Amino acid sequence: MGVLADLISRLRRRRRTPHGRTVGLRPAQASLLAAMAEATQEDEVDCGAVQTLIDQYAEAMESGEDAGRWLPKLQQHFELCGECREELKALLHILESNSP
Amino acid sequence: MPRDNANWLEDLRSSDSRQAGALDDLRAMILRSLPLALSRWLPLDDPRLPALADEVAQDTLMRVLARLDSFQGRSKFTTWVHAIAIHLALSELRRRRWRDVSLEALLEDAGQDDLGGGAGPVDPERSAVQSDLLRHLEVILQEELTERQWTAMRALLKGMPMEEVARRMGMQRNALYKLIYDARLRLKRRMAREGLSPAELMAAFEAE
Repeated sequence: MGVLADLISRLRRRRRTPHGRTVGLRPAQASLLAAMAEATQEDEVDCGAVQTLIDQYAEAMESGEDAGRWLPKLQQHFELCGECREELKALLHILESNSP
Repeated sequence: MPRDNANWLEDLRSSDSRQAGALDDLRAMILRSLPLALSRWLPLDDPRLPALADEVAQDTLMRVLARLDSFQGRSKFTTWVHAIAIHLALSELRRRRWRDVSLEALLEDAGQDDLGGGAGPVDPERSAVQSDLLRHLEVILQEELTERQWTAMRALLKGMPMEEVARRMGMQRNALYKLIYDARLRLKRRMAREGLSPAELMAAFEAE
């Protein structure tokens, strides 16, 4: 708990009181928010951009290429966007079932 | 004889029976593949599957014809079509799953702090640390995020799909993605200024 106690000590020096709307944050939500913050990049692509490239990305993955290296921003998007990630998995499922 | 990309495009752009033939073949392909693609969400013998597949196949063909000029030729045409079908199918499944859930109902029980929940004994020191961290993070969220951003974020954290949140907030999915992206970026930058590392936060809240 030493590391966490140090963190709390640093934050208490900037103590503020919650104001305005009630947030009511839960630990699980805080953890998810932290994970989202960590994964956020300064320059990301949105779902629309992913939809135009998901077919190429899936074929590259299915053929064993490192699609993430070729399209790193798509890989990063899939880490953050559950819906696009589900669509990629479903598409890969089809491609893998169709491959000889 | 199987079509290559050029054959597909030529047949679909024709005004004779070749177009009808190509559409029939695409439809058959979608109806064959879609149940497998959706097997994580619907079992293969689910009675709703045939009607859903039929509806999705029809919508997919319309979208394919409307967007034929946008096909870039960097993948197989059939892969491109499959991607469209999957997008439409999963969007529909999410809509059906969440149609009776309002944003208000989803968010109304978000006011309780569930520190100390679970079967095991609570470590008072850990609980106090978590409580302090939650309060600091709440201040950051109040100061950095707009009301709209926080509403959307809460809904997403409670598992509502982005498209469904967007629908209820009167936005397109892309616009919501950008709204949430701005929120995440603000959160990340503010946490960095506060000396609050995401990794430290995650470690503080991970299950014991």
